[in-house]
This record gives sequence, structure tokens and C-alpha cells, in this order.
Amino acid sequence: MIKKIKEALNKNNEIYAWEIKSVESKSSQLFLIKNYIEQLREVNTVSYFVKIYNLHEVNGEKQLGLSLINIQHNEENIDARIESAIRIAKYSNNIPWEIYGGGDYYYDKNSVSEKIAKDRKGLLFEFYDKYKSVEDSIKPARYSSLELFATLNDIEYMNSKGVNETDRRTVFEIDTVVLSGNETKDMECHNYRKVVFPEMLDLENEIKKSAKYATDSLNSKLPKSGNYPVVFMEEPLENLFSPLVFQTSGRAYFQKQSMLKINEEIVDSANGDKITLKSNSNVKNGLKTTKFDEDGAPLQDFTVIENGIFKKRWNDVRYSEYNKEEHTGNFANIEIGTGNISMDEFTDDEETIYYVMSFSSFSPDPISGTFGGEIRHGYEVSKNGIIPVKGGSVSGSINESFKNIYLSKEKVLRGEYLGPKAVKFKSLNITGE
Amino acid sequence: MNKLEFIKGIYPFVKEQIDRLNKKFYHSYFLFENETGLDVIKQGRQEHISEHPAILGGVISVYNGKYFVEYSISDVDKNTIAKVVDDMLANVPVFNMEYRVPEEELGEKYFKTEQKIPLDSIKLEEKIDKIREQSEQIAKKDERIKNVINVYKENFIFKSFISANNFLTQDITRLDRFIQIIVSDGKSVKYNYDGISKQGGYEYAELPDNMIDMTVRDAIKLLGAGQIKSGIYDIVASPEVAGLIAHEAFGHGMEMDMFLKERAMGAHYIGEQIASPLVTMYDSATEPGESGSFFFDDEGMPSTSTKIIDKGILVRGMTDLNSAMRLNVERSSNGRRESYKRKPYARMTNTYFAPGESTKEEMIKSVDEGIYLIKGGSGMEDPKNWGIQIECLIGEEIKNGELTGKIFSPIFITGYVPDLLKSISMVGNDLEISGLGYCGKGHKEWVKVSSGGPHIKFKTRLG
Repeated sequence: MIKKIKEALNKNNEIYAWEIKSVESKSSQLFLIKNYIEQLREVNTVSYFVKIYNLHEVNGEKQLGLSLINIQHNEENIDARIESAIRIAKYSNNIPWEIYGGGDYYYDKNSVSEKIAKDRKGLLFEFYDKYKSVEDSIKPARYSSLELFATLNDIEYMNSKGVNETDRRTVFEIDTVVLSGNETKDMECHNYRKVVFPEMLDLENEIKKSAKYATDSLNSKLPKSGNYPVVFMEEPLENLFSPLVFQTSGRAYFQKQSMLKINEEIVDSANGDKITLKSNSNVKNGLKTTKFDEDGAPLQDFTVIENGIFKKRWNDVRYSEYNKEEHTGNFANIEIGTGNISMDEFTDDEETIYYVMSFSSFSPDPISGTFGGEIRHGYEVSKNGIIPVKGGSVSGSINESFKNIYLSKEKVLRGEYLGPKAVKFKSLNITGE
Repeated sequence: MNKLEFIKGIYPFVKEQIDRLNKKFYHSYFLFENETGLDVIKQGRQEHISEHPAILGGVISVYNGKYFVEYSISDVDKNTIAKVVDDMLANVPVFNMEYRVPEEELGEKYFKTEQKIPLDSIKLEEKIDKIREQSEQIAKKDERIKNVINVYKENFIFKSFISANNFLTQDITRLDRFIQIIVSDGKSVKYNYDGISKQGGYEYAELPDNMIDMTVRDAIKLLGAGQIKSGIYDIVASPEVAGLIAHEAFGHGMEMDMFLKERAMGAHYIGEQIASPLVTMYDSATEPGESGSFFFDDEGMPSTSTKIIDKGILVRGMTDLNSAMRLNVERSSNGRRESYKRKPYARMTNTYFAPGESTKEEMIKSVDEGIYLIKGGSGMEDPKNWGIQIECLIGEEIKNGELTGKIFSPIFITGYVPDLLKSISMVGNDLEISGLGYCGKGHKEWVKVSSGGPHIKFKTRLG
């Protein structure tokens, strides 16, 4: 099919450039309620995403139009689809840029779990068996639900400049809910993890941790209201630094959505640890450890923030030309430099400190840099001991809160985040009691 | 070949395959989905004008007496369908039936969204020119505007459901219009947004001038916004924020798959007073023009309207097929999928508080010190413990019964749902439903929904 699409694109002289990305996806999915099967699914799909570029003139100025179509495996009239896409692209006026022309070396990344590649359904039932075997050990906690997804993606990228690369990637997702309590008081812990290698996911440990959080929540209270030191661990780390990734992009700069300036501090008068932010394309089990990016260019390692100073923007092909800056390729896994002290020392000298393991929802705003969320699982540590907390909200902003941030020397990988296992803010606003 | 001709052409073959499956299994169906559309997005000097990536595929679903088994395929052709059916007949086990599958006999039906001005009656150039012109005009409104994102999206959602007794087809057209205004004073960058998402045609293409002016005005106000002091406040919420509360408070908690998973406190409170007697709340897929509406859900259930709360009393929840079967309750049309590639869950559609009798002015006048929550953002449910979290983009101070112009952002509403709903002391007479958003289940499974209500006055914790 890809050959047919390529031939149809090449014979059309109104096309300035083209890109094709094919994705063949095979997925097995298993859903349980408590410990019985609710549904078993098999998903087999093939899609061809085609980008068609048209160069035209408007009032004597060259303009580039881009149209995206999704062609199905059994498409009968490819030519008509392409004609329609060209017609639309002719109306779209953008400052021209050149698509990726190749010339860089591609490294094969180890992003394939052989278990997923060979026997997805078998893998799901292997996890199901493990899940059942752990059930007794978490009592009085109990199961609410389990969802498992094992997916194999074969991706091929090619463009009109001769770039042609393939990549194979696997993804394993697990979504568990564990309950603890009784008829009068019952608490839950929801845990969602996404990894490349299921072999590297310790199911028993994840379930036991969920059971502990659910059971601890039975004795939880609201946090106190006011400004307190807060330590983020586990789930919130996955998104905490995403506004910095956006703010350091060529896209944010070109679209005037970033206030960061090269060679200046990312926050004024920072007293805490200085942040170092890198794109790391070689993290084993990292979700962004892939061979190439959306432009077909190899993913690279680079540093955008070093010791709190904004060093350079990252640019994909388009914004590299627009901003007349180095083409770095898209951002890979987010690596944050670790600090000098252990997370165990975070409580030193603090009368009351909060630890947050999960929020109900945590999505920092990429443009304004503000963040906040309701505490789902956390702990208050003070001279009174360790008390579970739940409810109430924590809020802050990159501009203010990152002035006093402390990074643990211990490291963790979660999703596409590789960095300190614990991040302490000296002062965040808490709304609680 | 158009979508309707295609599905009519393949129907006799698919029906034969369903009949084959029904000889072994207790229930089976085929759901066909083809979603296409047009995107026109102007963002400063950049333009994106394109078809949006089509969703095209189908799912074959069987009930084997104990659980459902589904195969999703992107190649909807006779060969692939036959292979899947052969595989299911050969490899999917069958058990004694634990639960009966309820299904209405409807025969063959075709449903279509009414478009007052059909989208295909307007030339593409005209649509694009309108967006370009409007973007330029907005950008000139204030020098602090750094970027304007102007979005026009046509969505053509075509689905067919084929089972032993039914051949249902729906052809839904939805128009999404959205603007985001990014402003800066050199010290910080802020943004505001608004828009319309309605089922229908080009009649919804024009964003009202006052909506644009308010969006710009509030974006600029955000540059001087402060952080609210955390505490308990008297609050007047706009219909948009009221909708978010409806959605997060007793929306997710009344999705009855959550009852099966013992994740919903609401399961224990059916028939009890859980809100102020002023509160009545619906989830209804039957609202004409609203973005969460449809004619039948993704498991073939004709659209229904569900009264969830009646004068403060919790009445019932929303079901997908599995939860209706296992809980032995009447089905509602809430079995929805992100796409044919995902399983159905019990999901909301259009969720809203019913209107009351007060005016917004009366509510604001009744507050000595409090906050008017103008613009919502996002929210998260906690049906197990009736917690609620909502992030609002804009709130304005109320003092001595008047708005002071002092703006706070962001503002987080947190609290215990029954406390919040029982504190509702005034309900407005101005129902508005807004459908800009999508809703996730947990952190995934995104479906289009709308929510709304009238202005409401209540008391809760802000931070």
C-alpha cells in the first residue's frame, strides 16, 4: 500500500513535498472487575498518515500549504484523496520551510519487549495470574478493577527527500484500583503506569503499594491551610516539568508564548537547587526512547537548561528554520538533573512538611506555568508523626515556586521522566482545614 | 462511494456474519465508525487547513455468557470481517448465560443531524477568509495581544450498529469554534479562551462579538490577577462553572460501571437527600444541537434522558450495557467508546443542572464578601469519597453585593460534594450548556461531552 501511495504522490506535479507515516498496531486488552473478566479485546489496525505540501504565491510572496490525510489500508481511490488534499493545501498560507532532508545517523533504540511482540494475550494472562496470586496478601485491602493493554507498533516513515526509516515500539499499560475499608468507610487507590517493557514493572510491589495507600487513607485528614514545604513524589513528577519543556521550545518562542531568554536564569533570584533539563533519547524503558521524531529526524540528546540558565531552544525542522536556530529534533525523554542531598533529609529543619504521591489530576499549564491539584494520597510529617492526608489542594507557579526547589539525589524513571525521585518546594500554597 | 451507500452495501453480509455468531453466542453486534472532518486553524502567521485524520473501522462484539469479547479492525471489508468471525467461532469459549442481554427491537432506522445552513453549501474559501479576517480584527484590539488562535472544525460522525434485530445508522454533524487569546505585559504570559461546539451546520460558524470582546477583556485582566487567599467563600458560579460542578460532582459518580467496581459512594445513597432541594440534575443524550448528543450509543441503545437528582434526591445512574445487565437496572444510553479501538464504558453525554428562579444580579447582590467564578478550566472526580477538584481560570471579587473588578487566577475549588450541593442556596433562571470539552475516564478514554446549568450560589473552599 505504501508503494501505491508513494507512486500516486510522485506523479502529481502540484505537490512540493510529501511525508508518509504508516502505523501498524496490534493490541491485546484485558479488563477485570474485582477478579472476574469483564472484557477481552483484540485490536488490529493499519493507518497511513500522509502530509502533502503545496508551494504557491500570494501577492508575489511564496506560501507553503500543508494538508494531512489518513489513508486506509483498503482505500480504493488514492488519487482522489490526494487531489482533495492538494486543493485544501492551496488555501493554506505559511512561511515556507523545508521538510527534513536526512543525512543524520539513526541509532537503533531498544524499545521492543519480546514478550509483547510474540504473545500479547499470553502476557496479559501471565499478569492476570500474578494479580490473582497477590490478592490474599493485600487483605484487608481488595480489588476493584484491573485493565491491561499490550501493544506492538510498527512504524515506517518516508518523505519526498528520500528519508525512509522504520521503528518497532512496544507499550504496556496497567490501570489498577485497589480498595480498603468497610461499609462505613472505604477508600481507593488508583494507579496507572505506562512502560515499554512489562518485564520491568513489578506488579506485586505496585499492588501492595496501592493497598497501603488505600488503607492509610482510612485514617487520613485534610492538610492544614497556609504555606508549607511540599515534596512531590511518584505520579506528579511525570508532568511537573512539562511547562519548562514547552517554554524552551522554538514553537513557544515563535508564537510568543514564552518569556524565557537565552543565557538568563529561568526564574529570578533562585535560592534552591538549580535546574538542569535535558532531552535524553536513550533511556531504557523511557516512553520517548524512539528512533525518530515526527519529522523523521533521529531523536537526539541535548541540554536546554543548565544550572538554572536557559542555554538553547529545541527546534523541530519547521521552527528551526523560522527561528534560524539549530535543528535539535523533538524533545525525547525529560531528564532533570539530580540534587546533592538525600530525600530523607528533606524533613530536616521543617516543623511540618507534606508529601504528595498523587493528585486527583495534575496538569501544569504550559503557557502560564501555574499548577495545582487536589491531594489524592499524601502524608503530613511533623513532630506528631506521619499522618496520611487526602483532599485539600496544593498550588503554585514556575515563576515563584521554582525559586525554592530542592532535588533529591535519588533518581527515578516514570513514563518519559527521568530525574530526582523527590522534589521539594520550600513553600507552596495549601488549602485544607 | 459515500458512507451510507457503503454501509448499506455491506449490511447483508455483516448481518449474515452476526447470524453465524448468534448461533454460538448469546448476543453479538457490529459497530461501524467513520469520522471525518475539516480543520481550519489560524495561529498568528501560521495556518493549518486540512482534513482531520479520519477514524475508520469497526468492532465486532460478542457476549459468551460470562464476559464480552471484542475484535477491532481498521479494514472493514468482507474478507477481514469473515476472518474475525471465523476466529471468534473457533476460539472464543461459551459458558452458561449468567446475565440476559436487554435489547429493544428497532429494525432499520437512519438518523441525521439537521443543518440549517449545510456546511457543504459554503465554499472553503469563504470559511477560511472569515477566520483570517476575524483573527486580524481580534489581534488589533489591544497591543498586549501577542497571539490569537482561531479554530474552526467541521466534524462528520457516522456510525452504524448492526445486530440480530437492528440496523441503526446515525450521521451527526458538529461544528466547533474556538478562540484563544494570548497576552503579555512583558512580565508574564496569560491566556483566555471561549467558543462554541454545537451539532448542526454553518449557522454556528459566527462567534458572537460579545463573546470575543469578553474573552479579550478577561485575558488582559488576567495579567493583573492575584492569587486568592485560601478559605471558605460565598460563591456565585457562572453556567460554565456550574456545568463543571455537575459533571464532576454527580456525573462520574453516577456512571454505574463504577457501582460494579465499588468505586461510587452514590450507590449507597439512591433515594436519599444528597443536595439542596433546589437542585435537579440531568444527563441527557437527547438535547437537540448539544455536542454530547446522539441518536444511539456505541452499544446500540437509543438515546435517553436520565434524571440523576430530583429536588435534591439521588434518583439513579447512567449505564453501559454490562452494568445494566449485572445490576439488573433499566438501560440508559451511556455506553460510549473513545473510538472503535476501545471498549465501551458508562459515560456522560450532556450533563446539567435544571434552571431555577433567581437572576444572576440577585445572587451577586446577596453576597457580602465572596467570589464570582466566571471561567472554568478542568476538573477531576473522586466518586469513591465524593471529593471534588475544579480549576477555574478566572474569578472576580464580590464585596457588598457588587463585583469589584479584582481578578484572581487560577482558583481551585475543592470540597466534599454533598456539602457543596447542600450549600446551594440560589439557582438561576438562565440555563446554558457548553460543549467545548472532552471527558476522560481516569486519565484516558476521551469522549465529547457538554455540561452546563444556570448561575448557582453556594459555599465551599477555594484555594
